[in-house]
Amino acid sequence: MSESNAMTGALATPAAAHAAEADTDMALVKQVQAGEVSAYDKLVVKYRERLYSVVYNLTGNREDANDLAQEAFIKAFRSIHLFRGKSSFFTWLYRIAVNNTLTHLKRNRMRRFLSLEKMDEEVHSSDILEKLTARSRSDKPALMHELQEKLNEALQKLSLKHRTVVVLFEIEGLSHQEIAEVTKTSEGTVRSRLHYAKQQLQASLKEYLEQ
Amino acid sequence: MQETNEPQSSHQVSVEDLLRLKRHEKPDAAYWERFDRELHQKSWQALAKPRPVISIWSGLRAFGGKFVPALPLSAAAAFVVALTLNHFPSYTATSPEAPAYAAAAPVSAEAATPVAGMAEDFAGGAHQATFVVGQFDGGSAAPVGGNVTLVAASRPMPVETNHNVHYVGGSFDSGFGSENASVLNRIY
Repeated sequence: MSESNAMTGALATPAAAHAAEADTDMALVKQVQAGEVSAYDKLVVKYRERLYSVVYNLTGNREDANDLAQEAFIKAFRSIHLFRGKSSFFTWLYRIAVNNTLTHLKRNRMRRFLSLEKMDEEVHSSDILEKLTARSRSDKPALMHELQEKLNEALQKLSLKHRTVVVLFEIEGLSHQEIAEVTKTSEGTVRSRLHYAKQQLQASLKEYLEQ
Repeated sequence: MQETNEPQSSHQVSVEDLLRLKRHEKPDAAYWERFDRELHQKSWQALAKPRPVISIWSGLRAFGGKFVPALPLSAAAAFVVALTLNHFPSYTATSPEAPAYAAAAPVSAEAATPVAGMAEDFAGGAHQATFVVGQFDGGSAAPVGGNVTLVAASRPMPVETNHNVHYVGGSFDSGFGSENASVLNRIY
């Protein structure tokens, strides 16, 4: 069997997987637009964790993240008749969630406090944590707790536009192009904001970066 | 997501490495059940909540896209007037033989004046149809205030047009355990 044959039926490249995912989403969106509301539940289940993560990392507050992620899904549902598939559903959904969250953060500048999620179990096997523990006097759980707070504080010190690109790129794993679509800016602007934000974070987190 | 924002093979710890640790901050699996339940409640409340005319129209389009343009002009006008007056009566009809949405079909726009959200109760087998107009709590199967009764559908209902009845869809927790129910509202 040739290599090309072996790939037939499989999603050979990330781009192909991306396209297939977009097609699946669009099919569900069309079902919702036709009145089949249960199809929206499938989209919610598919994206709720990613959407929550974006909002949580922007706010640093899990209660706000809960409410804002739900609001984003409701807003998206109300506007889904307007979705025409010019961008992928997930960038459209992310845009709603990000805009909604930024509006909330701007309105509540003075009322900010962190309310953090627990780290999952997988973090204990992280190479990064091993490296940091090796050169620290703290034990792993204490270091993890301290690092989590410092990381979140450092993120919250960034301006909203810089925080947004860092969260979308470094934590959510979106590409520059996707972030440009979500934030309605150019890829150049995304790269520039990312560069500046990382400089700021390096300064805030230097105690963990120095050898 | 094709770009290389993945770990670098280095002995140094980078900002990128630290930020990637934040991917481990996430709720446990049980959280998502509550999230879904709350989302359904909020969706339903958003549907039922009176809103300014323009956003109501866009909301209806969102929930029932293709059916809304077919709304009879008189019903749409009555709907707008009622919402403007913020006057929400309730109306109840019962049919032991037929599913409530079929039994209710002959109810005219005038009888259900001016717009009715409808829910059905299949759980009790009585096929009671309750037309609910106004705002109520979608999160409970108990009666909510005044003459407004919340009835949850225990199974999804088809979207269709029948007897000039226009459906818009919403969904919320049925209140009968963890099962999520879909509900369709009728717009007369």
